[in-house]
Amino acid sequence: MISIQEFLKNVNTGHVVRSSVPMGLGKSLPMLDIADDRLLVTLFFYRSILRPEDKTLLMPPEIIASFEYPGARLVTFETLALSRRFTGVDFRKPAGLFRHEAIRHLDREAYMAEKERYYEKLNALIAYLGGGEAFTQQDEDELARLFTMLAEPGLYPYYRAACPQFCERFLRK
Amino acid sequence: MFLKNKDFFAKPARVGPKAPGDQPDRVPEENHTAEPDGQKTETATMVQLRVQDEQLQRDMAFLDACSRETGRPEMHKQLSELRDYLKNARFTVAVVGEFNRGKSTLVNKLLGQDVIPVSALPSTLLPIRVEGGHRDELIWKKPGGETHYPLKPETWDTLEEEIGWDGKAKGELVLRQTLPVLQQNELALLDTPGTNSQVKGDLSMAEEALSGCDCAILTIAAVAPVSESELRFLQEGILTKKVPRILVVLTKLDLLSEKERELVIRNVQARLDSLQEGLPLYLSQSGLVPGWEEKAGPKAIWDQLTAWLRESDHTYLKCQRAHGLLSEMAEELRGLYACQLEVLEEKKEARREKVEEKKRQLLGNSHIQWDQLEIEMLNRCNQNFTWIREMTEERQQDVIEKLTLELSHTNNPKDWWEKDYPYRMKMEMIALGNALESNLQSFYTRDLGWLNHVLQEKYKAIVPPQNQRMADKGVFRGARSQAELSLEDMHNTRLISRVGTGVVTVAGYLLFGMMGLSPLGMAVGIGGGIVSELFMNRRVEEQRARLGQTIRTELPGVFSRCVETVEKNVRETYRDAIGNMQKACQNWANAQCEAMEKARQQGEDPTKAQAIRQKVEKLAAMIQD
Ligand SMILES: Nc1nc2c(ncn2[C@@H]2O[C@H](COP(=O)(O)OP(=O)(O)OP(=O)(O)O)[C@@H](O)[C@H]2O)c(=O)[nH]1
Ligand SMILES: [Mg+2]
Repeated sequence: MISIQEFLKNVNTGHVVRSSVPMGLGKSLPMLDIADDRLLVTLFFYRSILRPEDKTLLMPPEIIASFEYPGARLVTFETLALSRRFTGVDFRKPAGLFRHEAIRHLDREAYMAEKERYYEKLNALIAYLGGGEAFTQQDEDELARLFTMLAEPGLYPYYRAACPQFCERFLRK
Repeated sequence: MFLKNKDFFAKPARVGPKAPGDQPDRVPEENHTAEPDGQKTETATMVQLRVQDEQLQRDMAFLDACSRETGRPEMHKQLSELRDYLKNARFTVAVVGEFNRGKSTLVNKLLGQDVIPVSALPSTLLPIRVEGGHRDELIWKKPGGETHYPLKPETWDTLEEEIGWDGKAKGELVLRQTLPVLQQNELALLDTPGTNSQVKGDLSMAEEALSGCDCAILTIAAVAPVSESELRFLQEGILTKKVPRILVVLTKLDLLSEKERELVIRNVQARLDSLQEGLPLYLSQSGLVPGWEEKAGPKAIWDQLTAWLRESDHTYLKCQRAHGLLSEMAEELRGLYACQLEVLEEKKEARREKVEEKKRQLLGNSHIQWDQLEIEMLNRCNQNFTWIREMTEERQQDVIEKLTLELSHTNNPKDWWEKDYPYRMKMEMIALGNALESNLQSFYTRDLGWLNHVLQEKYKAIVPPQNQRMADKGVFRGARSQAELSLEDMHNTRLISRVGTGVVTVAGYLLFGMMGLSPLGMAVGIGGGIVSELFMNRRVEEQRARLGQTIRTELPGVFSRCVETVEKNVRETYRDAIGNMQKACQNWANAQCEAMEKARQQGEDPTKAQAIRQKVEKLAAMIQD
């Protein structure tokens, strides 16, 4: 079974992203979902605007997509600007800053390391879902801690909209 | 991936924002997995399914009534198709593909017995459903009823005549067999007519078969692997239909040499990989290609099918698929009723105004979205232009280099110009046309797929693909206009000059010979010959230079004329798609407006509003989040 890191790489270079996701959009943290007995990885794609002094702006996501794991087959694809449930959103207005309180103390390296830890915990959860080793309470808390810390508060609503079950479980305030 | 712990999210979070007093519920879960007798849980889910099933039936009946009330006949049709799909408890495997790809042969092999006739001509005229039964029988089920036939070899011939080749026959043949494999597994195999055979309407037969099946097997013949149309059918006919399980089988590998086999397999695999759908590839015959033992032969395919059949309860999968569909319908109907309700709640005088305002609003909003879609489609179209330009510029440079090189080696530029050059150009242009066509078709398929995805979601509409060629060979064949150049035929000139030299030599010989100076006369002649040969070479050089110049100036014009035509075709194809999209959207809007108008007329009745309110609530409950 491939790791989530490899899976993301496949998604990134895959046909869906190349053909249907505009250039220059960044990916959200991946989330897991189960539908139709299939394991899905859900992400959204958003633009960020680089600004000096660590004031990088995050724009509202443009696309929410989920892919079947591990094959990376596209399962859902939602263009937010065309979607009824996001009619209230002004897509020209930033949704928040990249640098938020929870990661203020991290430099680039440390941030990447935390992200890597998040991926590893997802790998552990995936293994458990497939019938592998137990996913302990500690594992669960650690996954929640990492996810809550790394996800940008300005994008919380979109994380919840994209993958309600996962956020219910792992997005903790 | 097979999920063992698939209820993970269904269980409440163990620690969460609102879980201070929560008991850790690890214990019951471990109990569950440790339960020695799996029987109990199984029956529990079965019971739950039945209940769900009844609920599903009720929901469908309710939606049906609503669809009739709001004037959406296509929903009624969708619902009755869905009912058929649900009624069929068997795991249905549809074998699809172009004609003569060995579909019927594969079905026979899977069953281990020749039950369906096979021929090199398009042979399967109607879908044939092979399923288990108490005795062997053959039934033609058609809209008007069903006819039973005795199962004898001649029967197929009589049937063929009866069905006819005009493609007008409807329905399907059901072939019941006492084969143990079929009786032991709740499984039906559906053989379908080739998607591209001469008979019209076959595509819809295969497509209909696909919307009612649980698994699709696409057969591709190794002797003609993965054509553009096959790829397109895979994308539009199978992948967008959301068939739960898909398998690709490569047939007729035995007709290739050993070396070719691996090459073709690699090629097919690469094309499948490029779709990024993780489609498994199998070979129809075993023992042909080393390393493929596990994925070759009827047994391997059968294993995969039964694994899928058992992996998860497919009736459950069916219900899930149905729930998704119903939820979509409920959402749409709720929208319609909500509009009506708003109108009803107005006072009578204000009602008409309200309706008008709502309509305006609806159309206004919709137009903004349609415009966005149109812009996106045009953007995608324009991206094609950039690609076409880049690709032809590169090609043009290549061709110019190739031709001028060839020119520099010819001794008779005129001959080359008149005979070889047009032929070379024709070949180059046809190659360019082919490359453009196949790429443009796949871009178009991709873009149309995107458009349909959005349309399906928002307006329950689909734009049919246009079978339009964009870089037709005609464009390129006519395109090799050639500048009128009057060139001297250097071969003739050279001959004449040689004869001339000879004449001078002889004349000089005679003249100077009369004067007793014949050697001198010959020398004059030969000297003249050398001079004229030099002169000739210079002329050839000149002609080459002139032609080279012409090629360099003429070719870009030829290319850009072709490109213009192709771009025009591409634009038309995309425009057609946009036009169809607008029509579909307009139909949707009209239906909405009609519903509002209806509501206005019915507004007199006070109980009406109450009834509609209840419907809206009921529909809302059916919508999945
Ligand atoms: N050599 C070889 N011949 C095959 C193979 N599979 C099928 N054939 C031959 O190919 C021809 C067509 O096979 P069918 O099974 O009728 O093909 P089909 O896809 O059902 O064709 P239609 O029903 O017309 O759409 C027959 O002559 C078969 O004998 C194979 O694997 N190897
Ligand atoms: Mg056949």
